Amino acid sequence: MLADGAVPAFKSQPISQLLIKVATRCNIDCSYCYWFRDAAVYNKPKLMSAEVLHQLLQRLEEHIVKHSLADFPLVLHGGEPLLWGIENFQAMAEGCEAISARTGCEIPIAVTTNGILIDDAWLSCFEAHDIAVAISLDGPAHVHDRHRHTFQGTGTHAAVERAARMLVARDINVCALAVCNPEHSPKEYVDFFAACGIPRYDIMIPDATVDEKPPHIAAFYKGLFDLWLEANRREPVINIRIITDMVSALLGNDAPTEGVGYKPVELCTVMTDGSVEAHDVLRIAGDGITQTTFNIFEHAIDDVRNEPLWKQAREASINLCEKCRQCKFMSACGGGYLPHRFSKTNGYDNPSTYCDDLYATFEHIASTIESHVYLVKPGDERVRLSDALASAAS
Amino acid sequence: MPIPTVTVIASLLQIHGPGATIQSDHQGIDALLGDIRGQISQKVVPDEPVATQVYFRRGGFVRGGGYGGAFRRGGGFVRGY
Repeated sequence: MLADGAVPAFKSQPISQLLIKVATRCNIDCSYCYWFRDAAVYNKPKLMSAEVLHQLLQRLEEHIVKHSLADFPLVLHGGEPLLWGIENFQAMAEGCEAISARTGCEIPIAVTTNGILIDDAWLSCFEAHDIAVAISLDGPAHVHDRHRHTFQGTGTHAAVERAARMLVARDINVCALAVCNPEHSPKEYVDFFAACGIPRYDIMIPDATVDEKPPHIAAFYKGLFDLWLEANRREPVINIRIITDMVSALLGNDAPTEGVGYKPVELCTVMTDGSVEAHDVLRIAGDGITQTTFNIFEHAIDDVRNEPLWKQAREASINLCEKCRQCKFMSACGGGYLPHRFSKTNGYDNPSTYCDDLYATFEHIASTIESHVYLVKPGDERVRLSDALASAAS
Repeated sequence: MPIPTVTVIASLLQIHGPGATIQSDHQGIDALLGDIRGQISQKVVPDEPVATQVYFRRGGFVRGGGYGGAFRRGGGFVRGY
């Protein structure tokens, strides 16, 4: 942010990743799911067709060649993406491998799954195509089964934990995605993931808009940071994504995941019918709110940058409200996760519904890392980075 | 602690001359500083803000320098930008 409060002009980049909805339905019924808050998803085909996949791969290659991209990650998502089937995953992965061979662009693929359908055949597919797997697993059973259940109302934890352990046993790139429930201690999550042998995970802030009044989360995340700090003291062994992102952002680096740090969010979602939408999670704000008139049959991928709704979401991610612009953590926090800033009255022109919690968490982390970071001068003299920065500024 | 930027840290190191670096006595924090040291040593600190790759929160991509086996590597993602 500039001194006068103006928004800096971020240097324009082409779309650099895609979120691909390969299935719009799910095989379980989680109580907190944002996806089905928007009834418009029922108007989409249940699964992506071969025709749409073919067109998507064509558009992808055009985009990579046009912009000379070296790297273009794809996230396969749903609904439950494994409902798309192994054959379709293989076709997608082989198509991407062929594009990589022709263009030299690396196209890493990750899938976010609830894990219910994972079996040996799926593991072999992930292994063969180096597909990274994010498995939705809310920690121990008594936490997970509160929200993540079948359509019959029974818990899914046993099946998901089994899938997670299968992924770990086959040494497949796995990251667990949990949603924070602040009624429980962070240690319950950390101990559970350690017991499963999962060193990389995220414990995400629950979805809520400003119109809701979610429970406070500061104590949870301060505790989570303390556990992260203790576990990684002698060597970096666990990567709790939201914590490493917050620490990175406080150290001045770009946090790589949306929701932490100040930068434009330029996500682009391709639906099962080839239509292109703005940020997927904005559908938390209601029916049809992410729909555009763009699709991959009539438009190039980067055309979405001219789409009013997509531009609106991008601008909202960097046009922060007055309170954020005055905040000392503005560059590290970036206003928090965009959907958490939405209200029916002001749109995204609000502090996050978790603003006080984010502030308290950043304060706690900043005051701790301050005593651990040094400028080391030639000759090995060590000065605290905070002192060196203050000295340079004076 | 004032929140620095990579550009500010690069300038600070330049003031102190070749061999100056930033480190942490905590290995988990030091691993995250690796990304910043890499950007500075490779002179890829941008002059103006760049819209860097921002991963979807519900996706499995994780970047965290020094945390072995992370999904994604740090560094530039667009050739020629």
